[in-house]
Amino acid sequence: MAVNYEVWGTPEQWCNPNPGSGYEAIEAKLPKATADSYYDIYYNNLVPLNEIDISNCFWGISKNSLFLSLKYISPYINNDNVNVDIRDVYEEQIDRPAIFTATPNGRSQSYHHRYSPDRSSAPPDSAIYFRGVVMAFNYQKVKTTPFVAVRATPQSNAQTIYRLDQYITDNKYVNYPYIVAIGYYVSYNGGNPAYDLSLATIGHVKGYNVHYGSNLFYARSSGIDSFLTSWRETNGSVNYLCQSFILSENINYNIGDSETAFAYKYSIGEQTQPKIYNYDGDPLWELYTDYMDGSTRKYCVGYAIHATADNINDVRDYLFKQMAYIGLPFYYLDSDKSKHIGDSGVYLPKFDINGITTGEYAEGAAALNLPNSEWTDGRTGSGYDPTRRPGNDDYGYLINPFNSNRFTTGLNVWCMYQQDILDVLAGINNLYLTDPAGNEKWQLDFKGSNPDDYIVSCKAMLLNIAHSDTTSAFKLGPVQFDGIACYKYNGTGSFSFGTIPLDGTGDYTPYGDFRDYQPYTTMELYIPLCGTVEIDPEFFVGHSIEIIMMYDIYTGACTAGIYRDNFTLYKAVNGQIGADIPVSAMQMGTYQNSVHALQAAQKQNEIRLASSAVTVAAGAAALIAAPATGGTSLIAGVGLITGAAGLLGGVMQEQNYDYQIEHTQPIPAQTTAAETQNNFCVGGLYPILYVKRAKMLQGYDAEIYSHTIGNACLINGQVGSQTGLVICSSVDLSGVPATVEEINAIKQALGKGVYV
Amino acid sequence: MQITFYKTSSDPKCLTKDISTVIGSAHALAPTEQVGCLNPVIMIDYNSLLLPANYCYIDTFGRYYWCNVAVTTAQRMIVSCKVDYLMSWASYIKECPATIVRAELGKPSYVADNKLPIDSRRYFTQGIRFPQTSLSGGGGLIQPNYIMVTR
Repeated sequence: MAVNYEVWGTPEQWCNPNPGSGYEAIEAKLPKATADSYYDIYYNNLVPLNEIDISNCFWGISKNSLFLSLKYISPYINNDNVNVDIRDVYEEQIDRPAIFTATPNGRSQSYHHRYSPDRSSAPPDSAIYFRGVVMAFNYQKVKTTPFVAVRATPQSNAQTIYRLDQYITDNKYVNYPYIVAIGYYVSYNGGNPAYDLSLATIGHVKGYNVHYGSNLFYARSSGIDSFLTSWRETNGSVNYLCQSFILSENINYNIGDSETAFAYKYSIGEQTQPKIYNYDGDPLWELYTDYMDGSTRKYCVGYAIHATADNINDVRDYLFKQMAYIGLPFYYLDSDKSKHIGDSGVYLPKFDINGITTGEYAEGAAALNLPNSEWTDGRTGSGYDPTRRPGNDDYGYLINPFNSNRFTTGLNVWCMYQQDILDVLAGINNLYLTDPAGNEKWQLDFKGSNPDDYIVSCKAMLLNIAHSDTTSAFKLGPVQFDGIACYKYNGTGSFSFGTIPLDGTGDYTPYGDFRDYQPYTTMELYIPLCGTVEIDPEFFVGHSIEIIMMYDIYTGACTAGIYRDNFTLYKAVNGQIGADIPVSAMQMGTYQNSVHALQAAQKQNEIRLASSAVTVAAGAAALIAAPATGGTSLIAGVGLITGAAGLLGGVMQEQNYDYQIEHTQPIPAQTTAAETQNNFCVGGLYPILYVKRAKMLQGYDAEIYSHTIGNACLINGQVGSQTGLVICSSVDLSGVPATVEEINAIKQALGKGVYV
Repeated sequence: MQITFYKTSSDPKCLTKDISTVIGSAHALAPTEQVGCLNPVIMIDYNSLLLPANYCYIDTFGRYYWCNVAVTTAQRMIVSCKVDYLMSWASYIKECPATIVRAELGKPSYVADNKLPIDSRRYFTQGIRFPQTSLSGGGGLIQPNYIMVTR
């Protein structure tokens, strides 16, 4: 399977994945606790390593997003026309994937490569950025919230930052009507987005443009002729945020032109109010002159949204739409910053069937109807079909569809203690067995189904299962057990056992010669729950080996993927990580069926009684009619007698049924044979690499052996290219002016070995 | 015919011998018989200094020789020579293209060496544990190890 390039375009058309050199990718830094210390990764303390896995999750960012588009404006600006219609530029544009993946801090660069579909390099300390590498995180726990960078006048050097909600609800737009940038803050793990609104914090432009907020539209290109640049840096440490783009050199604009000259050349100013249109044709951005650097007065074209009381709601909707194009949950925060998806003020983007953002979103409880409200993880819990990831066929990814929440829609996956299960069973019994009104309640609750029909599976997992931070009331079908609180499963479906280097940097020191390979070296992997696997040293020596375990919470099956250098799959072996816990004998259904059968029989008897009455009436009628028809009274009389007999029998049977119903009891809910038929034999909880290596005979001296016997090699070259012992299998002695006897002797000597 | 005598301790397999120890030189009085360039036998005047010589160079042939020196009763010495084709043509040989199948590399290479004295009965064995795990044998008592999926 491959990515649908017809929808997504080819990788060449996507954002450049290499922010370090390509300058098109967009990145954001997860916040650190203290300002100005962005190189220390905050998230690393928050993201358990076992949440980071091999599987990329990605979705497409709509081409309608400013995020992807504004860089294409510049070529269309020229002397004659400063009005820019992005729609013209967009003709060749396509939706672009945004890749969310893992880049744990401190890992090697190769680790990044693994997550980037085209293996491009990535800054090693970046936490989140699009298309190139973005961190694996719990989708639901990522909080983004939009901000605006605003000015009193378009050209003002004074600039301030407001959260969008502050900007609007506090009427900040009155004094700062020009929005020159929009962006969003990011936080993770349920924390609040970073709200350090100081310019110094938000405006850092160093290296990879590390900053606390990620601009909604940020793109850069190498060189001064950048199409669009997002940041302006002045006076070294104090950085100001602006949105502006420098006109490219081919329109004869000289960097450093005076403002007057600049304005004259391009007739840009309040008078003309040139517009930038988005793909939908909305003229939202207005162009102004701006300058890039306060000291050298490098002017360029800036643009801003002019917010007024009349259009502020439109502006808000526009920014919301841009946030939705990104694909991450976003928050229009008020004083309560602890909200989650499903709460009011929390927005969730909508995706189309191809996994492309639509710009639409749902808010509050309505967001819970969107599939991505269930996404837990930046990888296998992704929204877009992960099997259509680029490079899936080529790089040996393992797919764990069972982990995807796409398969769990409508299901609850509980992460339980042993006692929790017992509590559930006891709870069911209490509700329907000990309660005298249990029968009626059961019928009302389950509509004729067994309670255990609502249990899809129950497994004991040999795993530290990631679960929600808080417990929820246990739900079984339509019934919620308020007295039973359980965690919800929050895992990723996989975890890594880590990496063992086999290049000499770890515990394993290779010989560095032929003995590193079979048959002189053999390797076996013991993988817990999967057994022992022989691996070929040739594939791993000089590299590293990693084992990633994926597990299926539904069946208890697991698959261990053996990787070289973190991303090349070597083998996958299957095992069993979960033991079935047969939660059975919740025989409510059987019991109720019995009750129903008896009640049905009882009803039947009642009907038979009534039927007999009808028969009597009919017989009487027939009897009455007999004088006219003759010969029918006998038949009517038989009917009457039969009916009377049925009536008596029905009354007796009904009493019998009542007795049976009273004495029919359900079998209590329980677990049967729990933990007895699925014992694990686990040699250890860690995999072990066993290496069996050739040993030399006692007395072996590498140097003397090398000097007297020589080491096997294959060198095609001049005899004199080597020093010391040289043995040749074949030599061309043309050019040696010796006798034939000497030539033959020389050949023979070279075959036996000479010292050069 | 000028003969230069040396005493060398170089291995005959050396392409270039150590001829730093020059003992002396002599002119050939006469060959003992018809001599070729490969194994000449030559008579010279007796010179006791030349007795330790085991190596020589004969300018007439332009070759190096392994030699044995014998003494006659007539104050003569008989020098029996055997050409050292390696030393004589060393500079040429070094230039010759060859397929070298063994060389003094200092350590084994990645070409399998069937002469390497590997013990066929003994091995180094090493067990390396992977650094991390998420497996747990808690049994649901100390960890919520149970997964229940409900509709």
